[in-house]
Amino acid sequence: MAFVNLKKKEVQAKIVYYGPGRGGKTTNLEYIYNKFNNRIKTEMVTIKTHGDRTLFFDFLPFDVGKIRGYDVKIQLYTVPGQVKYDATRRLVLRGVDGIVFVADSMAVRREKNILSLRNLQKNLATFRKSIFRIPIVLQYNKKDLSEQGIPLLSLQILEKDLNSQLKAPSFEASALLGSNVVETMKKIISMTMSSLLKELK
Amino acid sequence: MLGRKALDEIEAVLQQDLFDVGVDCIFLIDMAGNVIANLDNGEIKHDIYSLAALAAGNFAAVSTMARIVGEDEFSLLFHKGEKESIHFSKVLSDFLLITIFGKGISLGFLRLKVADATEKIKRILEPFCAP
Amino acid sequence: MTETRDDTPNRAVQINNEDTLGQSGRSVNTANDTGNPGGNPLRELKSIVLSLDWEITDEVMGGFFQEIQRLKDRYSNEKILVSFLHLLDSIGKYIKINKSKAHPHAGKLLNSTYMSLEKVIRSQHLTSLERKRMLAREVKRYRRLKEQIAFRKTATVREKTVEGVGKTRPVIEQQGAAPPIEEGSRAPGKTHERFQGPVDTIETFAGVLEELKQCIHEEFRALREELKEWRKT
Repeated sequence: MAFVNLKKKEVQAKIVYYGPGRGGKTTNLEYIYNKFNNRIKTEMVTIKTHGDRTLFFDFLPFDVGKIRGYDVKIQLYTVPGQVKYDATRRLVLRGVDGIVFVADSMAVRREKNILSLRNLQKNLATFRKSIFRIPIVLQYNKKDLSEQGIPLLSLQILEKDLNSQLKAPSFEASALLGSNVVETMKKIISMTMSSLLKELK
Repeated sequence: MLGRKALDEIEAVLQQDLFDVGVDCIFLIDMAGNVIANLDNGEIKHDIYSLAALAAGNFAAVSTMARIVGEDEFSLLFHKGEKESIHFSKVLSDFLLITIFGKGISLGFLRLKVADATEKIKRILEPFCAP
Repeated sequence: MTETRDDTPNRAVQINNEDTLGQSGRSVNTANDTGNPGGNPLRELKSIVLSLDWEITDEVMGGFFQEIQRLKDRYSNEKILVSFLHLLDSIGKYIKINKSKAHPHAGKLLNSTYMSLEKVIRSQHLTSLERKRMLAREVKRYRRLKEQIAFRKTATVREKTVEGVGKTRPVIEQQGAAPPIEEGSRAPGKTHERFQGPVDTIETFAGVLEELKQCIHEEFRALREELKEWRKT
């Protein structure tokens, strides 16, 4: 749940990047951190295994600037994608205001995408949140791999598998190259802020 | 939503009960990792927002471990450092009071002060919490 | 007879049995001597003092006083050790009664007094003079803390006096730091008298301190209201 500080005139909102393991969640944040280095005054927090897999979460506080006189601070988190870290994903989801679901476009990851989305729905339900009501953007990552001849899922398949009911905004992206990373982030921030303003009214 | 008055009252409690006895840095956060109020001695420049995110995650992880071993929750979450130590205290079910303190104050004494401060903050926050 | 170096620690460590850290001579129940099977006689006390560093509860304090009493009985013929134990007892009572309102340095003093006691008991080679000096050091620290506690409470009494003549501005802001305490100097007589005063003095001071805090809050609230009004005009 976002926190509005009437004294400091500040809004803090939490956006979580969710998705299957090795899908590109951390890469999204790393790209954002590098791109906006001059605006992000703090280090990106990462808690990883020795094998560079996210163990707990990555965290990046992002100052969006003033909206209606309020300083908006977005807290970007990623969750560990590996199946065994389900309990950890649940903890990180606590108080979430907006979600970016980072799907892996590789054909071999089709089932993992679907399972991960179902997992997200289940974990949100533990906090009495509905995947259909929370601001969510889908990102179909790793589009750059098509140039390397790796079989990728088409947009139609991805939309059918993941977005047929949600009908959420979606972006084909490459977190590694930065394509549509910022656009994804902007979209989820604006959706989250709109939703928050609605709630405040 | 917490109003200015409530935030002022919370800061007053943090100032008098904890800061004035020598705690270096205090922050009150919610379980999502949002910073509600914070005070520090001006000499340390901790990244409060990262600390808050980590503290919330840490506390949540430890609470989950407690439930797995059959405890409702652990009564002490405390990390001892060479110069600075960190203490966590739950306030109602949705907030955490985190204190960072040096060697000048003992943990035992700090826990007494935190217990007092927690009671006062509870009374301020209760009207704003969902039943 | 001129003062000898030998005499000085004796005078400094003369501890009145009623010497207290801001509390009365209220007794705390202590159990009979349970005996120590042998080995380090301070083992139990050490474990309690260390645990107080982590948690201060009535239960732990109860164990503390029990152990102090047991050691007092055991070392009843050794004046210096009994004096150390008396110091610890007094500090312990102060902490037990005041709990979160206790001076933050009380815990440190408890630890340092214990460490000195341990050194005195365990070091076979210490001379009588060296033991007395160690005790004298702890007594000095104890008295300094007593003065600091007294000063805090005296400040609240002065505030009441100022209020009585119509001024509401808290005087405590003008107090500045506690008066400097020089090594070996005697504490101001008045504060000593206050501490050897009636049993309910401490409650009175605590009450006055609370009232002062309320007064300061109200002052700031009034100031904020004034500023709001000023901004409007």
